[in-house]
Amino acid sequence: MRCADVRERLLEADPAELRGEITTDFTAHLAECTTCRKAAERILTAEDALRAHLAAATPARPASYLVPLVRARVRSRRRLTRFAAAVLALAAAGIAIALFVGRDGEAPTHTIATVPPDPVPLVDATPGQRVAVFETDNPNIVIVWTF
Amino acid sequence: MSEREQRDAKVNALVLRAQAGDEHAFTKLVEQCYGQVHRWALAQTGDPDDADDVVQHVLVGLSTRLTRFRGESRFTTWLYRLTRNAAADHFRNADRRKRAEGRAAADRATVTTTGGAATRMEATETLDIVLAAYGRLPARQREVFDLVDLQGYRPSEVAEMLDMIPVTIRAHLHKARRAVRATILSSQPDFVEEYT
Repeated sequence: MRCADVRERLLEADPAELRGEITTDFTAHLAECTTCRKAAERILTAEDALRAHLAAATPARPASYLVPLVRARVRSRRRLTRFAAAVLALAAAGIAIALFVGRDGEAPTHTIATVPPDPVPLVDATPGQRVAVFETDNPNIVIVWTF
Repeated sequence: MSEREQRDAKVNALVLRAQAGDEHAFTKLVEQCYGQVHRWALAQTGDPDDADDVVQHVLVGLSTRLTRFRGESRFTTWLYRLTRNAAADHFRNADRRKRAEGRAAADRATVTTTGGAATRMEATETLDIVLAAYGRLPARQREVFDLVDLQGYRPSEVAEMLDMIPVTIRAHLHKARRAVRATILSSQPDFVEEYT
């Protein structure tokens, strides 16, 4: 590769290439050409300095006020969640009572559910006979056919 | 298992316990994530004070948002998105944006001055120059450059974190590298003509 091509490629090459960690035409040229290698080293030195500076500027631990603040926020959220759950439970209970009592506010006087009475036989059929019952349009008239 | 995978596994265990209501685990999780969130916030805001504000917002908000994490992506990816959203909210305030732009302009002025006179490259000068170049990258390029070249994330991981395709990540990365490296080399007497 020519120096001009290498100088252009220096601007976009991966850091591993600049360090010569992989073997390409580009890295082979860097190994041979002092000027181009100097440029690559210059870039690496500057980027290493930037990396170290940013790492040092990043605090390893949170500021002393932050953890208590976050804890307080978590507790407050839990209290809020419990309060909301209690309000919902109360509301549900209120709705159930309102439905039970009825809209006029009085307890219903009728029985909500009753056990059905034992059926009363309409006819006594002779043993061995069959019975057919026909309902008519008139609820008072039922046709009973024994055969 | 790589160091990052080990850290992820440790964090995932804390997430599960914190989601189940373990307050101690939640505190540990906050402590564990603090440095990483701060670094991300710094890359996005470019200012330590703004980064502090964003970190506080993210970690306090984590107490309410953690229950929404379903494990569909890596926790790191999810947390990174929270941080980005918090930084975006932070900068919706016009005054803060103006302040940040003012800082970038000041950085540019510093670079022009030091770049022209930099015949002797010492470590502090090197750092000043590269910091200024990094600081005036557009936010997206700075973010990608920081994650890939400085923190060692793979472009595919960053693509997932930023919800972008890897080709776009590569494009941002190359633009950022060109800008930073051209500034570095143009401050060298040997290369000043070639890279300015």
